[in-house]
Amino acid sequence: MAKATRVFVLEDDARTRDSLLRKLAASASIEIAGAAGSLADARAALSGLGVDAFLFDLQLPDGNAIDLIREQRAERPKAPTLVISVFGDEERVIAAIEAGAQGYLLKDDSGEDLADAVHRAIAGESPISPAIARHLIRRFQATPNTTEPASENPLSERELEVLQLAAKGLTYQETAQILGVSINTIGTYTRRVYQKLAVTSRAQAIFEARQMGWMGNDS
Amino acid sequence: MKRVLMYGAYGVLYVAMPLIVLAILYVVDQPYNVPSAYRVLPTEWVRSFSEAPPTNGWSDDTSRWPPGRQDGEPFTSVWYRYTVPERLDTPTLYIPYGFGNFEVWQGGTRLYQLATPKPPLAYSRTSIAVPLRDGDVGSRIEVRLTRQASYSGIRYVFVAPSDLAARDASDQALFETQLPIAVLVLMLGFAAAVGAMFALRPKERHYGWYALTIGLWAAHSIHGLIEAIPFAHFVWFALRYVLLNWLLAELFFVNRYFGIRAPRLEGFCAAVSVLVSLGLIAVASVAASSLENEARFFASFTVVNLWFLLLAFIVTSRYFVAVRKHWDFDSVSLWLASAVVIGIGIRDLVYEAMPPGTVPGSVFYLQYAAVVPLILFGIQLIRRFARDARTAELRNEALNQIVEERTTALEKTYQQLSEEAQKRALAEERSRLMRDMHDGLGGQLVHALALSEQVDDADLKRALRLALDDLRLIVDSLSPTANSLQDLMASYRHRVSRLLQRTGFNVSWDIADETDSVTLKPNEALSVLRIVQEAVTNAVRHSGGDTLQIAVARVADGLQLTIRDNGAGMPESVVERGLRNMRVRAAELGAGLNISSTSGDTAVTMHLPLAGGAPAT
Repeated sequence: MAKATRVFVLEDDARTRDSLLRKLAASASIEIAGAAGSLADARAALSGLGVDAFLFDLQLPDGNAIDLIREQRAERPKAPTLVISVFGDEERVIAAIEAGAQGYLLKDDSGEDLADAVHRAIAGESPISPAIARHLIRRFQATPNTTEPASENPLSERELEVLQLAAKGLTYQETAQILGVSINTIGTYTRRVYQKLAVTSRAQAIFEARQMGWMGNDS
Repeated sequence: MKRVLMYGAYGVLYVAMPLIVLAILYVVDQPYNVPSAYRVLPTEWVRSFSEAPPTNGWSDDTSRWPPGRQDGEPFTSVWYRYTVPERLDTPTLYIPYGFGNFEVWQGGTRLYQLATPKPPLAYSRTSIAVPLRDGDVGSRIEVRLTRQASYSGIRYVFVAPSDLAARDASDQALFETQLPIAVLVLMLGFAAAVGAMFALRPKERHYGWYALTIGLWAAHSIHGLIEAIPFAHFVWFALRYVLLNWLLAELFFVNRYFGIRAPRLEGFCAAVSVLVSLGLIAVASVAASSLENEARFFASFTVVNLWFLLLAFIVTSRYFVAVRKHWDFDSVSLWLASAVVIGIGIRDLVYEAMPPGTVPGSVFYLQYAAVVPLILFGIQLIRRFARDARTAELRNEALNQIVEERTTALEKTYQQLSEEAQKRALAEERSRLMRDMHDGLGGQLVHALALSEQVDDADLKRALRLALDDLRLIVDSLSPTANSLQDLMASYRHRVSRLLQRTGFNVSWDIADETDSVTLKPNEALSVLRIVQEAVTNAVRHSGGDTLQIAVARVADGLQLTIRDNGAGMPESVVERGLRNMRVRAAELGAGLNISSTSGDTAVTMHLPLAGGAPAT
């Protein structure tokens, strides 16, 4: 561990933000790259900043962080975004994942848990709640009667198994044990599912837009 | 060839029918007559206005009728002389019917005179039976026919026994007065009935035309029964012919009844009929002014009769069209009936025009013959009307039923809709609550937790964490995506596994897959989660064991929920408090709760019965 991970925190509640920053700072492997309480502040602070991971609260005084997630995905594709949530099952969290977020963490998680979640995200693991897993299963299985030729279930059998176990509330560790693979493999599967979701939701959005005639017929 | 044969058959049928009916009428007609042996013919006649039998001027030329009214004469007056042909016990002079006023004289004495003379041209008939004073063979009788406008002949005169004369007179009354009145009443009845049907269903034009047809024919018949002529005699006389326009009405009726309308033909017939009728009335209105005009008036009858005969043939041809089109009982029977009417009409015309004895029979037949098809028609129409009314009623019933069904369906739909609306409202309310918890309460609790970390108050921190945990249970129980008990337990497992892992307990979960088909209402879900939470918390905090088993199984009539640990058993106070809390929640659920606590094995068991034993899906 040569270099500490630089984390940027976006959270509008000052007390919660301080609490998060304190917990993160307590970990030797984490360095605070910056923090903001609004989208505008975040955009201003982020320009030219070196960041390895983002922690974003979604509902902010000046709007929703979803767009910022997209922007940062384009700008810093290697830096994962984690959504800060109270419950981890909000529709907004799912929307954020569809926008490219790699996972979520709970606002009341301990410092240890927070640091752990950040490192795992950078390593390519994505945390997943049963609610999110259920959503993903439904999303991929209920293949809409689109004209997309490749819209047969894009998940591999293993990925689906992982999701199904997650939907039953099993931890990565338990899932790894049941499937007889390493815990890292489970994280990779989850990450891949997240990426597929982001991709398919984009394809889905384009398809719907075309259906509604928003885009040219030639597109 | 086949066509020729077919039309030939039609023709034979058409001619045969009236002949058959006529033959039947003759058979019926005969028995009522006084035997023709008693008939007497005049030996002499004289035109004279003398109030007693004239003494001279008698003519014995009986081969022709005496001439009619001459210029300057108000009416005719002809004396006829008859002689008694044979010796009879009760000799009676009998005239079955005649038009005008009669006087009967014998041996210079007047035996009979109508008390009130009828006006000339009255169309009503007179039937007289006068007992003779002198029944000797060769005894002379004078009969005066007077106050007649034109006609001066007496068709039948009998000298017969009084009983025979009386019997025939009553027959005559039956045929000439009573039967026509009965037929008239019948016709008026049908006219009224079908007229009423027309009033009810004005769109069914053929009802109206039928009512007019039979009404006109009834009026035609009434004409012969009225003695008091209400206006100019010749016009009254002409009216009888104008009423033959019932044939025109019949034409309109037939065309509509059988759906074979022919507007141009109808227009032509109507125009000619109106012209003929108006012409006849015009001629009649001046007929009294001179003998020439009177002659013209009577001559015009030929035109009128010819026209209505032609019209009768047109009508019968329409019946034939109907036969060709429908070939059913209605069309065929009515076509043949019209053949009979025409045949009998022709017979009556000839009977009237020819000298007595030329044409057999004693009365006009048309008045009866024409009624039969009309009455048949009326019956058919009334039957049809009744059937239509019944059909309409049935349809109405069916319609009512449909309306009722639709109403019920609508009510049901409305109910479903309002249920949907309620569900939607509930769902909206639920998601609003969720939003409030996520954005408000949840965030505030986290904020408070962050605060408590700063002041480093462990109790406050624990209290806030408990509140946050409970709020998570509420959120999970309300979650619109957690539809089944399995989903609920999954969320719970996910939330607590990390914490449980840290406690050092060896936790085993056994959530039966069947719980996937069990859905609970939010309040029930929350109660279940809280019971589990309470039991798990108790085990972790107080048992002192290291193994925890959490199981949910589907049993015959419901769910079995078990939280078991291998600890030393709980302190009495904890058991009591936990029991109390859990019992309250179990009671809300209608579930049975049991806590068994012995050293090394403590189990909280809840039995939740499900409606019908089958999972709600």
